[in-house]
Amino acid sequence: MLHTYFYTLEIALLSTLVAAAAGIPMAYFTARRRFPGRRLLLSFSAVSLCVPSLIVALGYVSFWGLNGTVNRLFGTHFSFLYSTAGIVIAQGFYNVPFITGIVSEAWERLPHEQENAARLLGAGEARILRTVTLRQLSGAIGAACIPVFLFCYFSFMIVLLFSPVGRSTLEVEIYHSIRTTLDVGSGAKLALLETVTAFAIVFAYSFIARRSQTTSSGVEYVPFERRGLGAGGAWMAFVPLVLLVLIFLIFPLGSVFVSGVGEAGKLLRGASFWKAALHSLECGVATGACCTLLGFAYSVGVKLGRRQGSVFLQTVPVLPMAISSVVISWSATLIFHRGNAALLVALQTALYWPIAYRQIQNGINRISYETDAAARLLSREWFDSVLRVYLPACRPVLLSAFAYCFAISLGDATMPLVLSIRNFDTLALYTYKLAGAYRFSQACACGGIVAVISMIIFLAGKK
Amino acid sequence: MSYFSIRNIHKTWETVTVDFSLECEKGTMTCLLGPSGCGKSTVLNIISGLEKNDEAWQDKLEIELDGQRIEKLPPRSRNVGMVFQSGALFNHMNVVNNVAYGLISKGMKKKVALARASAFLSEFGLEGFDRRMPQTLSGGERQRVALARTLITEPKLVLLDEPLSALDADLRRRLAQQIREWQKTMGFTAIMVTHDLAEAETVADKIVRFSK
Repeated sequence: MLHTYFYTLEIALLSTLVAAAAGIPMAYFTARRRFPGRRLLLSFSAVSLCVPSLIVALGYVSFWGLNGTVNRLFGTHFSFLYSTAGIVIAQGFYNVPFITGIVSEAWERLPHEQENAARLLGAGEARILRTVTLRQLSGAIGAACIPVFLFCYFSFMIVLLFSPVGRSTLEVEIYHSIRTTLDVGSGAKLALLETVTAFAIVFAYSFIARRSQTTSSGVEYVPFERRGLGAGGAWMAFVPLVLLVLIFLIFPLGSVFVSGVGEAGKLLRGASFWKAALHSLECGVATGACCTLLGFAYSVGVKLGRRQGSVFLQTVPVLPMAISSVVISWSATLIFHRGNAALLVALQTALYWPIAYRQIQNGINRISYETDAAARLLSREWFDSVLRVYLPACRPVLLSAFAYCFAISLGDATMPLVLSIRNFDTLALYTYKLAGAYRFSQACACGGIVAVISMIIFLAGKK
Repeated sequence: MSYFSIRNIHKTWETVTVDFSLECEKGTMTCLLGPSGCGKSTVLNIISGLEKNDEAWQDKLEIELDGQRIEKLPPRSRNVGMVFQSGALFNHMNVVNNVAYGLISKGMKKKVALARASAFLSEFGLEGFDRRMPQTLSGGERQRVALARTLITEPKLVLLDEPLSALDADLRRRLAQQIREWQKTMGFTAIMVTHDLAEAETVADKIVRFSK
């Protein structure tokens, strides 16, 4: 058990390091340098958020697999996929855009005066980066890296598909215990170990997020004048970095579409696909709506109760980050014996509502003190001010929260797999089953459709 | 020949054009006085090297400090110190580390630099502030730390970019008088930007008025 535990931590740590090693320099370029395609590169930050990990795994098989694009192109028979390195690289690069997005935004909003002060005090650029810039960014880097670590710690699909013989992570071992070996006792011990560790990490995350909030507040944002890539020979670091992201993220994702395009027609003619699509739609809408409603109610409750500073109330929404999809689904099947669509929606809501809450909270926080006070004074009762002031003011973030939770529900294959609901496939689960049945091109076609729908809904919600 | 001179500053943005030359004597305080947005801070940024002159005027810019031309040098090599409007203290470092930063950057051993910074703080009425974090300081204390951090490196020219504008009127008046006293006793040469005539009259040997 300890062997699996340490292997899980090792995989999560290495994947986070890979993501940070590529994501932080990329954040520097998108924040501080001017180059064609900068906005496009930043828009890829949506990839880690809305493209399901299953699609990334399919992409890696399609591009780097033994029969993949690279081997066909060079006539070789090489693959690093079914190894620790394969898992680390796939998970690491999958999360590069997430780290880039968060750190780049923080970097762009960093006040320049501290760097200028250091410059005038005689510090060289390397010393400024080390002693001033990175220290100022430490909150954002922590707030980006800890969710990535947790994601890799709970990673299921990528490890399930790529883990080398004899090696496995806690999440996959728990799944095997409850579905293959039926050793519930071992599964429970592993789940307990996994959850306790995750809670410790989540509390650390909560602490760092609060710290980064307090150090960044009140700083006036002045847009930075970006320098070209030629200045200081920055292109020498930029070009290899972009190449790495291309070959380990963009090309594999692209190859999902290339591999699936030929089978798309056949897939679309099958009744199973449409049935799965309908289930996904039902689940996505229900989960999106429930998460948005819960997130809105929680945000309004905190605001109306003037409890924004409460550590307890700030910690509650981060707790679901410490619970894995496999463990919560398994626990639910122990209580309810058989999974069903309503249970799937309830569990997805339990895990994803904090994501909706975070977005809605940003919208609620934008309501000024004066507006809030005027709403309270002019409304008949508190619910009246919620309906007539809070709800219209938060409409864009409510839509965004709904879209985001819908997209995540759409891409979730783990919970439907563990709940094993009779005659109920979602698109993500259908993709997994197609891949498991060696109908790889159809799996790519189905995965490609899931990815495109997720991206469209996510980006539409963001807009 | 004057101790500091700058010729042909020329910077245009939106509807504002700054066209400026200046000479200062050693150990004097010059105030640039004018309304917000007239380009006073831009002049300081060009002197320090943080901003560039307009493209067409870059070769015409001449900055001479203590007999040395500095317009082509990078900011860190100009021997010019600057106190920013917000203080620009490093929030992740305590007061003594903030003040020692410049000494360490210039190659002094950390232990020696910290001891010197600690002693230097007392000259600014900041005894016992060594371990305090910038977030816990008042506006006036922050600006005194910022001034100490700049002066400890003994720059040949000190630029003060509206260092008192964020403070209340009473504190502003008292700190302006203190700056004047420190400037007289330490003998540093300074250029200070302000939009407050009373403040300029308190600290300055010479006042240069800007208009929009």
